[in-house]
Amino acid sequence: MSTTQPKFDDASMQWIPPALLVDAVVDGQARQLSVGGLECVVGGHENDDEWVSWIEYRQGESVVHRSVRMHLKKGLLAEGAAASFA
Amino acid sequence: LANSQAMCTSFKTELLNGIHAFGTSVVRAGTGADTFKAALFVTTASLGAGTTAYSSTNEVTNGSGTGYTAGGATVTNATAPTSSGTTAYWTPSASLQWTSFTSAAAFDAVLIYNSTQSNKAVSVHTFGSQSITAGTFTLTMPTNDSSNALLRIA
Repeated sequence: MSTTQPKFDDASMQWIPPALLVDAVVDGQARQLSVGGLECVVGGHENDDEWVSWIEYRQGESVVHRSVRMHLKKGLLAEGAAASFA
Repeated sequence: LANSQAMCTSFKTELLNGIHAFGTSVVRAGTGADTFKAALFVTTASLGAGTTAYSSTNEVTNGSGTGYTAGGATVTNATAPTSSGTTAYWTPSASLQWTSFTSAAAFDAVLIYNSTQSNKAVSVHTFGSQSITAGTFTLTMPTNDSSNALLRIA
């Protein structure tokens, strides 16, 4: 993965931010910004179906980078039953 | 001993392996596993049990860059279907991931479909609405067992 992308570390269950630059979109244009000039916010939630962690880089009110790690806890169940002749 | 009514567990696994054909429309080119793909869909889409095949309508698009390709990503399928107890199951053997991706709109569903068999739909999995900006979206799979696997027939 690019060194300008945050990486989610499965062992520590934490984001590892890029060291210097992060991929960003500003006014619809892709560019790389210095992480030092941005606010980094990490969050997430968990419920019965999923576990989510996200990391955002903000420039003022604008989110210029957002990555998400989504874990699906459970898939789909189809129940098959055999009809009785009784 | 007594007889007990049941759908045979081996049959459930064999369904996942394409062994049985009750209809006459199945045409298989070989004995290898099919190629399955995963595509993301925006929150305004209406995928569900009635979805029969992949369509790009309401699929996620790039708001910037080229991080997402229409049709989605190929599902890694290194673990054959199996069973435990009376449940047959299968799960992709690796996470799905899109990098350097900016979603043009929020999305909340992934469609698994069979690109070998005319893009026929397999399953729709929903999750909390997400948007990605110049980032990475990783979708990790549930534990591949009879209680949690992505696809289970019990």
